[in-house]
Amino acid sequence: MKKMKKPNKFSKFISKILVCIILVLIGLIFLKSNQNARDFIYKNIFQNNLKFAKINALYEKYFGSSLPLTGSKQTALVSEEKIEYSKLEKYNDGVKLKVEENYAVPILNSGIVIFAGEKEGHGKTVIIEGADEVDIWYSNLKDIKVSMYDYLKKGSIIGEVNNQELILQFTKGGKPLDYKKYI
Amino acid sequence: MTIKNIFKIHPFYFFTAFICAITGNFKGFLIFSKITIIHEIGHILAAIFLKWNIKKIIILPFGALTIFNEKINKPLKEELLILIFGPIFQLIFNSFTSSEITLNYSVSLLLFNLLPIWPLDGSKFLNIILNKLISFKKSHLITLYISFVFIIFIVIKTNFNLILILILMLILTKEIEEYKNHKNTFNKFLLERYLYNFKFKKIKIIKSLNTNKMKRDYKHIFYDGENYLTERKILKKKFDFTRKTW
Repeated sequence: MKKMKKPNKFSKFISKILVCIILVLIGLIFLKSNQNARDFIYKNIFQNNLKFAKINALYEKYFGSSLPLTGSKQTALVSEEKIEYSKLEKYNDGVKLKVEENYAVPILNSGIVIFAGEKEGHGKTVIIEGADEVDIWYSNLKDIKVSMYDYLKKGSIIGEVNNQELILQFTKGGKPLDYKKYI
Repeated sequence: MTIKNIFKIHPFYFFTAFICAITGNFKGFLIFSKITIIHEIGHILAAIFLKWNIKKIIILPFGALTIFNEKINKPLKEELLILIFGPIFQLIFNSFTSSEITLNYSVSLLLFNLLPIWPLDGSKFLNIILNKLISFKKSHLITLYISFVFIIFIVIKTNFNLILILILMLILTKEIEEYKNHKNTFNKFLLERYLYNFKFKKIKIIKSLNTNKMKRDYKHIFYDGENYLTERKILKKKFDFTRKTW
């Protein structure tokens, strides 16, 4: 009986790469020719995050924490106070609050940090997504004490305010919400 | 043996990774994996330094297991050194990290690892201490009994948590396996002493012919009321079958 010659590792590797290239090209051609598919991909993959906070809340309700050995995830300082402000002013889609110098900002609702950094036109910004899918933007901060994908409890302090002005914005699924419900 | 054969990632690791990814806890999971690997590198480096034979390294979600292919009668000192290097590496790593979360996770992982439950480091420390005090057979059994008690204690004390329960089940299977193998382990302990010439400095006199009383790190002399017999003679009776075949 004739023995089949085993393909060597290199040719196997090359054929795998070729298959990958073919799959990528098929995908690209499909997206190029189909407008609906393109819109779907842009909307669901490039723009929206997975709703981590919502899934986490649901998971913890039935199965307990997904990191069992950690006693408490609390790392940041917690203050019991609500945000104190002297003046309230509407600002674009959100609201501008006049606060004290170097005011340390406590968050209004617990959730996961989905953005922390410089946002164009807003200054240093932290976006926190709660279990109810509402994103709260805290803008115009001087420094940020939290990092991406930290879970924070209500009242955790995220940083200090720049120029005595704190800008808040509430959105759900990309649409702005009325601030009166939250402050 | 190649590195590929030694390293194994347990399927449960991928399962936990998936759960952590969809709940947004992957950052914590990565930190845990990093700490685990640093801890394990400590054990492995010490093992390489002492020329112990590593059989397998299994990576689990909140810890890793290094399985050695070594004689049971290796000196207790060497075993202790390998054992202690994991926590030492972790503590060195702790002193270099500035992140509060990493430190927090590292300490909680270390405390969990030092519980006296069988495949965890804590039970191995306990086993070494017991081996210093009492016989090999008894210390092996007592270690396993204590681990069973601690597992029940943890199950009762903590709230229901899917991943914790799965970890405990994994630990329990390892433990039951070890318990079932208790007799084999003890026989291996005796057979090694018969096959290889270990050089122990300390000598213990046993006033009967009971091999159950044998201790690690000791050479034994048996006294049956009239004669003093060496350990080798007793073991020869047990393992040499050439004269018994008729």
